[in-house]
Amino acid sequence: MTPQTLGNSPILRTVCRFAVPLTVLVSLKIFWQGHNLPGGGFIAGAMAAAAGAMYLMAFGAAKASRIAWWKFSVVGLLCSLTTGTVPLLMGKAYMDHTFLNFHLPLLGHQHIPTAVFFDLGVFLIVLGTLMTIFVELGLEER
Amino acid sequence: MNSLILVILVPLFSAMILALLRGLPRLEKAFCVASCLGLTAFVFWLLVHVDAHGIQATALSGYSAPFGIAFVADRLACIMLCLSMSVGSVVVIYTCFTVTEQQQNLFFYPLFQIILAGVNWAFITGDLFNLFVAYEVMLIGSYGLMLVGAGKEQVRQSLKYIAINVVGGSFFVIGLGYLYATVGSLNMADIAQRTAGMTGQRAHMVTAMSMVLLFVFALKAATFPLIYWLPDSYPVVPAGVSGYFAGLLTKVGVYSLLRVFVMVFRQEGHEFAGQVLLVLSGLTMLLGVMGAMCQWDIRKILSWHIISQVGYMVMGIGLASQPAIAAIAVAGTIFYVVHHIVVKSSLFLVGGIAERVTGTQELKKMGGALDLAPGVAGLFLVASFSLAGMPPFSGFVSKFVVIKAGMQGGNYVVVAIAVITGFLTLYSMAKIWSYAFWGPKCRPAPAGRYRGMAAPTSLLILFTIGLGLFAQPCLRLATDAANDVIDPTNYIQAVLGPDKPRGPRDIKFDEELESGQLGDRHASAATIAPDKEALP
Repeated sequence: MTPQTLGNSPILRTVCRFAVPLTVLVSLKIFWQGHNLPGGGFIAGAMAAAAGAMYLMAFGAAKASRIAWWKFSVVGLLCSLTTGTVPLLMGKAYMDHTFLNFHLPLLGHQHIPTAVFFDLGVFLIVLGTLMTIFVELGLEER
Repeated sequence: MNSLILVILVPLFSAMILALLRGLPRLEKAFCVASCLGLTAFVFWLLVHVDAHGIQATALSGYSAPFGIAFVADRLACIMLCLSMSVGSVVVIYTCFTVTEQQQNLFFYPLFQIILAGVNWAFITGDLFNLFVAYEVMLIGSYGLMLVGAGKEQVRQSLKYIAINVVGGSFFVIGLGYLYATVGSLNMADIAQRTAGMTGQRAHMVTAMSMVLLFVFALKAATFPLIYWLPDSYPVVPAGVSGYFAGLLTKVGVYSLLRVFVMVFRQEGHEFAGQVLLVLSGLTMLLGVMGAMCQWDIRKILSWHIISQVGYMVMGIGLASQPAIAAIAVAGTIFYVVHHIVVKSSLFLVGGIAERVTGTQELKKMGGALDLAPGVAGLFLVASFSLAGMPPFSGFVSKFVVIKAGMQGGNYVVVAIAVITGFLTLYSMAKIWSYAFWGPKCRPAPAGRYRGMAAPTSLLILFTIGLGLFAQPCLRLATDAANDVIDPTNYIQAVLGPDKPRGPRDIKFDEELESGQLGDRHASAATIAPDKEALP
């Protein structure tokens, strides 16, 4: 079955309506637990891109190509570099890191490593790069 | 000194900002030039600072060496950084006049900044695995730039380049694995400390394993017999940027050879690498110049000359294995690298201008460029004389020092090859001169505007003249840089701290290694490493 015929399949579309948001949510969860448990920016980004690929199969690359995915990578790298640079500006070594501890109402005590911003950058880079490749290859298909 | 990281951060940040500026070609050019000039000023300050205050080092994320990644700026690294950024700035200004809007929309400048980041990274890192990362960053940028606005021919040639570099990269990782298994560290200063005084079977293991790295660096530097990828792939790089490729990318390989085989490996029998390099250098020089003689495409001639010139530098590194002449040989190599980067880049840039003026790349169709653009002819004349080694330009001094080292060491064969190569270089430069610049005009007026391209190029030409005329202070700096590399005591102290005792984990590791208790008895590293001559 080629992607075109797959795209017309109502079964795939219906499943995608549920599966895509679910996959994105799981990827965010994996991203968040990444500091202390298996997971992290790279694998979460790959998973989010898998959701994107599913969307692409169901609804076609043209729809997904309305977003400039490469900008995700650029912003992601900027985010990661900035995370490393902040300690540099504070007179520490590049990429030095620390923990933020604070209380939130409802959510309680929060323990966040500053490396999470670096990981967010990685997430965006992986997502942006993979989606750019998928969209470009998908558009070629038409 | 934490700010060492700027040499990578500034190009990477610029690359991303330039990517976001896509669609605003003028602003992109202005920003790119400004960022390059700013970083150039910084690295020159760094060179002066390091020359006055000694080697500077920093540990990323505060994890001290050898466990974290160390960035080290000694004189050699600073000299290379200055060259990388000066040539980079000149090339950026030059490309402002050659780049098309279509190329800019394909991320021309961001890719160039990524190459700059990779090259600077390779020079400043003090960690071998990090060097591998730097190589990959540099290669990613160069793959991209080779394919910007590519036609069929470009894709075909760059496939070769990609294939050979992927092979090289894999062997690099394999070599690093061997190295970690035998020495137990990837930090250059730490390896230098651990291999010093290493003898017996373990030393032979390190020597054998270092040959894998020698293969990788020789491939990157385009040393015989791994040269054939270069003359095919470099001519397809967009004009202007080819100047940076020609000047810097192979020299990253030469720099790595120098750093690793002169400074890092100090075990018993490490001279073997030098002997191998000496043989290879003679063949590289001869083959490179002969390849150049039979070419009729201006870019191909210049590309083949990169190879023959790399031979001289590798010769210097090879000679450094003889302790009596190590200082002069390494100083000569460093001086040669400086001279070569400047001259080779400027020759490619002048070649680009000659193509713009005559409207063709084929030597036999060119002609009369002397009448069309006399100033450009002057630039070419100086650069080519310098390349061939005529006094008073920098080529003479650098060849003189390397050959003098060869004579003192009694390596007459390789010296003879070096001299012959110099003559043949002059011949093929004369060929370009007589076909492209003399003869009847190939067209009534220049085919395109070229003055904007000539202005930055003439800066490089001035540099090579200055390098020749003020050879004494430059050679002083090169000799100091060479002494830092030959005797890495200062380097080790700057990276690992003064008389830092080796950590308990280290000592335990070594004890286990010596007694053959480490891990599986069948693991090659652990069983072969102990210095017991009679193994079961």
